[in-house]
Order: sequence, then C-alpha cells, then structure tokens
Amino acid sequence: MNCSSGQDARRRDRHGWNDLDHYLSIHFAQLKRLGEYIVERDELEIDLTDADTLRIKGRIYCVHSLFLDVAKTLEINDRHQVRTIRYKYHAGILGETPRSIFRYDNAHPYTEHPDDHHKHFYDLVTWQEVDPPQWVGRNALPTLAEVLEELYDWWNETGQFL
Amino acid sequence: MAMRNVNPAGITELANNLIRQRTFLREYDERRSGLQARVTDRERQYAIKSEHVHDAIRSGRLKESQEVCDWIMDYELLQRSGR
Repeated sequence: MNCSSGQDARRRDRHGWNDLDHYLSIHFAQLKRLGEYIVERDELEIDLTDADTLRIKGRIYCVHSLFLDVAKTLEINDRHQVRTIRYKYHAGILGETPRSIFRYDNAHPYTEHPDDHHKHFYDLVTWQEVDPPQWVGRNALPTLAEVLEELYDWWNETGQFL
Repeated sequence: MAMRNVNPAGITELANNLIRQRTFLREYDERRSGLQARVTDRERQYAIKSEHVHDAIRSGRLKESQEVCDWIMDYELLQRSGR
C-alpha cells in the first residue's frame, strides 16, 4: 500500500484513532446540531476510568419521549488520541413502561457474525426482542449522531403511528 | 539537614496540586468501587461469574440484554483499570 492510499484508508475509517480534542469538538458540535430538532437534554457523563480509558455514559433525552442510552469505552494512546473499543446505543421510548426500539452494540461476539458489531431489534407489538441480532459490521457502524438521526426517522416513519 | 527553599507561592501551588491529585484519586476510587459493586450485583443476580458471561450467552443460558451488555462493559472497564 502506498502512502496516499494509506492516508485514504485512515480518512475513510470513521471509527479509528482521533485526537481527543477533535473527537470532543465533533461530539459536542453534533449534539448541538441535533439539539435543533431531536435532542432535548444531554445527560452524558464523560470521564476517565483509568489513565488509558475514557468512558462516555448516560442518557440523551429526545423529543416525543424518545431517549438514547449511551455507553462507550474509548482507549487513549500516548499521543492523546482516542478510539472506541466498546459501545452500546440503546434507543427507547418513555411511557408507563419504557420500551426498547433498537440497540447497537459490540459487547458480545456472535459466532455467525464476521465481527462484533450488531444491532438488536424489538417487536413493536410485544416490545420483546426479536432474535437473532443482525450483523452490522465495523464499516457500516453508525456514529452517535447517525443513531440519533435514525431514531428521529423511526419516529417520523413508524413511532408516531403506533 | 538540608532544607528545601520554597517560597509561599510555591507552597500554595504545591498544596493546590496535592488537593487536585487527591480529588482525582478519590474520584478514581469511587468509580472503581461503583464498577466493582455493579459487577458483583450482576454476578449474584444471574449466578454467573463475569468471566463466563460470553460462554453463557453462546450456550443460550443467558440473553445479551441491555443489562447484560452493561455488565460486560463494566467488567471490561474494571479489568482495564486493574491492569
């Protein structure tokens, strides 16, 4: 691989190493943008659990009683760059009983999947999980902002008619 | 005995640094204790040791629910912080 194709590959990898300040700038800029139409309250906590590990955890409250529970573990290298190694994006809707809508995570490797990145689906009548989880793959893995946009689309296309 | 010559401003700076370090170490201990407590709770709840969670999911004894997902992440954080 020559130098330029290597740079292209890194540019394409949205989930690779990123400078900490750049990562946080994008994170907050995206939440601010999404605050214009879906995010109502951001209750994510960002802290270190050890010198090499950053954790982002909490709930993002959205319009129409939607919410997204987020848990991300990011490793930090000696150049103060970060990359996500574990994550969970659990979308739901508040009510008398909170209901699950979908969940992306890479917490458990399924033997029939090429990698750990998958999505859990829920039946919108019984609100029970529909097995098995569907493989997503690292390259197709959405960002936090894209998951929030997906949740917003779900409301417009499905949720509001339930 | 050789005495270190530290001016008052230096002493204040040293004290402030030590207080910051103490705050950080306390928060670190609290986070680690919280992680340990949550992991222990889940192990008791499901009667499965954390190191066997993936095997339990594979064998069908345990479902990868959101709670189990959190458990796996907490356990990994605990392991990372104990390296």
